[in-house]
Amino acid sequence: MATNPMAQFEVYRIGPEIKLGSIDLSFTNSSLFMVISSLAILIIFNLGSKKNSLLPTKIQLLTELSYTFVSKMISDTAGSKAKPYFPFIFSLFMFVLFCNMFGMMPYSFTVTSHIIVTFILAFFVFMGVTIIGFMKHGFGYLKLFVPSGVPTVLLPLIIIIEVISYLSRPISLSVRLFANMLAGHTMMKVFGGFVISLGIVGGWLPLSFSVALTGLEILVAFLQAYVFAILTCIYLNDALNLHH
Amino acid sequence: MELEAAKMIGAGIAVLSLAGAGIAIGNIFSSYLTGAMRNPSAAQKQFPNLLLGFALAEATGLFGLVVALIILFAF
Amino acid sequence: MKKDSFKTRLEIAKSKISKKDLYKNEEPPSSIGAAFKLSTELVAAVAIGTIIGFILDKTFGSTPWLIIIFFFLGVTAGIINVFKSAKNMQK
Repeated sequence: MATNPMAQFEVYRIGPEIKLGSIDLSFTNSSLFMVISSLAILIIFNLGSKKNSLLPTKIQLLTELSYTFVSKMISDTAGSKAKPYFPFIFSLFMFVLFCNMFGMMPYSFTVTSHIIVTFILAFFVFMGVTIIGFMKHGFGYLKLFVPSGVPTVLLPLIIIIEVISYLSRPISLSVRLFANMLAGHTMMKVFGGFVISLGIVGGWLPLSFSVALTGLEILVAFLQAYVFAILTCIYLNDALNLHH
Repeated sequence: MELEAAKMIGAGIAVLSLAGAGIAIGNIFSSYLTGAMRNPSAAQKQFPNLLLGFALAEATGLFGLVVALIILFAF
Repeated sequence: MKKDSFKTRLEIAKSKISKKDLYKNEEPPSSIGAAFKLSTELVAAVAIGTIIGFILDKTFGSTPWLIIIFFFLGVTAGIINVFKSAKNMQK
């Protein structure tokens, strides 16, 4: 009776088939949940900023809390020069957070559990940070790879290592989010299968572990969104203020 | 050796990297607790760094888990 | 004679109109309009870069290298455009 625990990650088509030549552009369950997350963000933050009373209502409190949280995160890691990038970091953080959280609901689909989604997010962050670095400092941006105080003998080796670790940033950023979401949801399905297969006699043990695991997964959903955003701020800090 | 057996053995070896993740997470939290015991008032300020360090250490272990899942289900 | 006086009056009147007065009654762009402008710039640049790469690939018949190269160029152009128009909007 236990179905494949990986069947929850299947992307299937909803609605009519839209094909452009040989490229399939139809609306899938992945796109549906991206639309749901974006609409939820728009509705909540629109309702929260309508009336600004001095004693805030609950939604306004939520909006202000999120704003202060992200603003403090940016100013702590990247300084005051990164204030123009606040809308970008805020949208990124909120999108990843809402996508992760919507994946915790039963019968839903986790958008960020596919490597292509997280890779495109991390890729655009990486390209954006590199281009901003080159626009602000010209070719002096390459001084990022030459840390100060290194003896000249070791310099070629250090430069190669620094370049490799810089180029591995989008990969690590994307695989971190993808692996956490994939592992968490797979474990939840596997332990759910154990509850059913052990029946009413031995099913209590996997059930209590599943409850604890669901709590852990909600924490991981928030934590991974926070880590994605704060690593983006750190890379932005590297690009804007060149010192390591 | 047939493919199924090799896949199972490969996936089993790949998950051993999670041992390193466990040690690293324990290290991070133990050093945070030691520092918090010595200087409780400064502990709250370092809490974001704790979460960041935990996530980064966990991620490295999960890379191994992803390799195991790829071996099991994509080959 | 009348033509010359008209011309001088026209020149004087033209120099009095500065470009800023023309836009005085215009309201500042709404935030959703600004958001759409920035996002359309990025998406359009990436899409056009990829489409150009795809078409060039079909004519030259090479493997997906041209699509990848033009995708990178599209991303770069889109991000630079977003940066510049965001800077203009902040003034």
